[in-house]
Amino acid sequence: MSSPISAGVRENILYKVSKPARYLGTEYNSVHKQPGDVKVRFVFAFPDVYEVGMSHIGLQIIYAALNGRPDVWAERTFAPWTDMEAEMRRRGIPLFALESWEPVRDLNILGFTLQHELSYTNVLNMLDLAGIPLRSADRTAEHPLVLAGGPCAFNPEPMAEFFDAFVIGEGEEVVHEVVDAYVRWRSSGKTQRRALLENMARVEGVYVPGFYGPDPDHGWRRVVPLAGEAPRVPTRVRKRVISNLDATPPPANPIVPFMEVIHDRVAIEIFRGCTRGCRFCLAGSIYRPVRERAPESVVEAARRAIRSTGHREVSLASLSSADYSAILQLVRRLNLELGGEAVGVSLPSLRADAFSVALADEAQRVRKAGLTFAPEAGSQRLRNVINKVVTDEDVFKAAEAAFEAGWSSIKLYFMIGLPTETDEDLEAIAGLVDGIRKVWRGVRNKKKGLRLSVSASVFVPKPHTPFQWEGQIPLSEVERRQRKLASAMAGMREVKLSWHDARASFIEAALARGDRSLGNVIFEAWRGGCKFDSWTDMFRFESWMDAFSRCGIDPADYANRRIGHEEPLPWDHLDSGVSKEYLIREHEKGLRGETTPDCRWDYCSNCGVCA
Amino acid sequence: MRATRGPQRMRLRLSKEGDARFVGHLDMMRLLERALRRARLPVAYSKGFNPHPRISLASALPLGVSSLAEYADVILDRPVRPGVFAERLNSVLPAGVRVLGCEEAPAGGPSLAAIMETSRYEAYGVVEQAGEGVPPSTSSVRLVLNRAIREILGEDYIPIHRERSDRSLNLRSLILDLELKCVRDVRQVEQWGPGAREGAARGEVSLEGAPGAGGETAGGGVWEAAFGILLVTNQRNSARPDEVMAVLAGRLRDGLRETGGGPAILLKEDALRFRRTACYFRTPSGLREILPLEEEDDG
Repeated sequence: MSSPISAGVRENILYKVSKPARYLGTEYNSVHKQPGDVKVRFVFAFPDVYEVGMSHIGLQIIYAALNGRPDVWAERTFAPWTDMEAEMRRRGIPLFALESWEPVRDLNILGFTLQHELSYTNVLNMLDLAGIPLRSADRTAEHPLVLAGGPCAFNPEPMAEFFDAFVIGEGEEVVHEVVDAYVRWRSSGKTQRRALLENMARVEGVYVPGFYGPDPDHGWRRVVPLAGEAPRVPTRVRKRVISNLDATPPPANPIVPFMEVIHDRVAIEIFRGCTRGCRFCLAGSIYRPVRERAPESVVEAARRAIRSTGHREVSLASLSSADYSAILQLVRRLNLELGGEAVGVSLPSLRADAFSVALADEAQRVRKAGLTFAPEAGSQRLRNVINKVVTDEDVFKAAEAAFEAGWSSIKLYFMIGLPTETDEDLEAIAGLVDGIRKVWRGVRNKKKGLRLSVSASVFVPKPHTPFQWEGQIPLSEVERRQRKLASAMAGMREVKLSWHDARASFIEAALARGDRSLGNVIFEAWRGGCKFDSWTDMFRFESWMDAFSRCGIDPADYANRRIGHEEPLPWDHLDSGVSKEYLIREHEKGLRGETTPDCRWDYCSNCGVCA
Repeated sequence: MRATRGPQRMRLRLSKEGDARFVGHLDMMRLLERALRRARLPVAYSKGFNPHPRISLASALPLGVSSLAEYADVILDRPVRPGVFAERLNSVLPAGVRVLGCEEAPAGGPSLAAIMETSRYEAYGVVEQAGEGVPPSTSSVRLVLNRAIREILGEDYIPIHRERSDRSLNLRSLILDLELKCVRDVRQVEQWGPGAREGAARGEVSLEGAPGAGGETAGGGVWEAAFGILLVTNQRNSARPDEVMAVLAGRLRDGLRETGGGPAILLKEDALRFRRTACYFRTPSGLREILPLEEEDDG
């Protein structure tokens, strides 16, 4: 039924676009099966360009999980860059799967990952390029099943009109159940799309928005099952959690891109979840509870993936790598096993308080990767508010350990606009950075000059977090604080200060706490030409504001408004496992500046996820 | 063969075809490094802070050009027999890249880049009738193309400007040979079918510019033409095949001195495809091809 885009056309286009290696699909370890051999064709759709998508660890995991089944062929598709899109539209070429170059609309299941809100217009653009009706209600049994997963699926409502189903939580087990449900529908002889969606709604962890509607009293602020569906669909959809990470090992044969991607390395998740309890952090809520991989599994997986790819770096991925219980031994084992082959181990996501001289030494033994710390706030008071219990002393000791071990370049992440922030807190950021410069001056044997990259993003209140009720500060105030920070750091010549565009963060905040009525806004924004919104030179603030205005909605209502604890939330029907009572407690403690310890090493704070 | 177990310099000849045509030079270096690691070959690394693999590619091939003559030197920590080296590496190379031959090279000798002198290319182009009216015959087209080539070769000075280095140089002095190999009328274009994908992947000719295949229609005649080009490509000066074809396209567009009047035919510059088929190096035994191919490739 499906035929690939002709080889001649493929050739011709590849000669016309920049970075043609984005569109090849024949990379080492890419999987090519015979269409006739499989029952289900699945496409993993990443709503950004190839280089960004191929650095996403989830893609390699789902790709490997599905291709490990003889009855499924999983392929990939990415957002074509603007020049490729222009060629495709000019020639009438629909969005295609990379491996087969077949149109995705002719395949069975299209699975998107929603990593951040500014990728939403890319999703619509890809559906449009594919020739698939944008709205779920307009699709028939002839169209593929269009799903989404990822962190934003925990507040899917702004995109609920456009997806047939959302997968809430971790994907590698439920994706099999989704495929099985799809196969059951096909072999049942039923031809109605509705029957397919009913099958999907019965899979645990799958939310089918078409069976839900607005509450009579609260509109889209409270989502409830439609009258006829109530017996069949859950009032709340509970997220999926992989209980035993060792039973789902990391991919043994990750795809090796032809071109340089954001991260050219083997990434192995050493654990999932984080119970540090930073109050702004979505990942901290949605990935609870903490589950570790056994060190032997990590070493074995690293060895396999290094052998099959030829990469020179293993990145130990997690939300806070130094919190892994056996981190030092693990890094030592890896250096022992792989160091002889000039393979380096990198530790992204290090907390300054867990960083030690020994760890620094081990991690830098073979090759040097960049070192990043995220104090997030400049003053201890504000750090207590957000529950990031790192002290100034921790930061300076970590910097000293890093400098003594030979690092001369460190990246620091801060957030401005956090709840209760004052100008003193902004000055404290500059103070902390200055303190690190002083530490550097005390270090001997410096071979290079100090390079400090300070990145200041804007606080965006996220659902399912203690700060979900807080509004983002108004745009003008964000800009004032950015200027204040810049002037406090002026004159520190080793420091490079970088921002996130405050206006992009404002739109992100509106979408993050949005409800289903924002679907029209996203549609209008896309129609008005918005795409690649997270790319600085592509983001069009005016077009977004026009879209809001055309829909009669004020984005400030979503981004800046303080929500009362008693109000229903448009994401209450998705269960992250963390109770609302816990979130309220943490919110109030935060405003009082009280900290809550990590339940891994201290008392249980009763978040509810282990219940 | 080797008594010592010390480092060895292995010299490779590689093909770069199919999808690998779209891999840039730096990405090609990384690709080779990863393949060597997958093959568990003992590539030597430089000492120091940020070790890098001791691999050098002889010359940068422009993106989109296919090649049967890519050369690289790899320093190995321990000697490996060339046959074993080639087999192990070929078993892990990605689509479009293959080792065509390898041999031990003298350890202390000059780099490949230093001794490369010239490169041979094939160019495939689409020629279209310039104006309205009765299309010229294929033999007329052949005549005009040969005239244009003769005109170019008859000159001493053809200036070309290099934007990156902001230099002007004499392209003519870098053209050692330019010839028309064949011309063919392709108004009847065969439909591309699924089998064509394999053909395209082998780096064979694509005639997308011809009517019927790309959707554009030309009222008049369309021909496929193949050219042979031999260029100076050394460290001091290097010409690219697309530069030569741009000159040819320009002559056709401006009209030839010999015939006068306007152009009869035009070369479609955006439908040109190139293939490097050989490189010649300065060796003690003269200018020669290193690791020549055993059988003739059709190309």
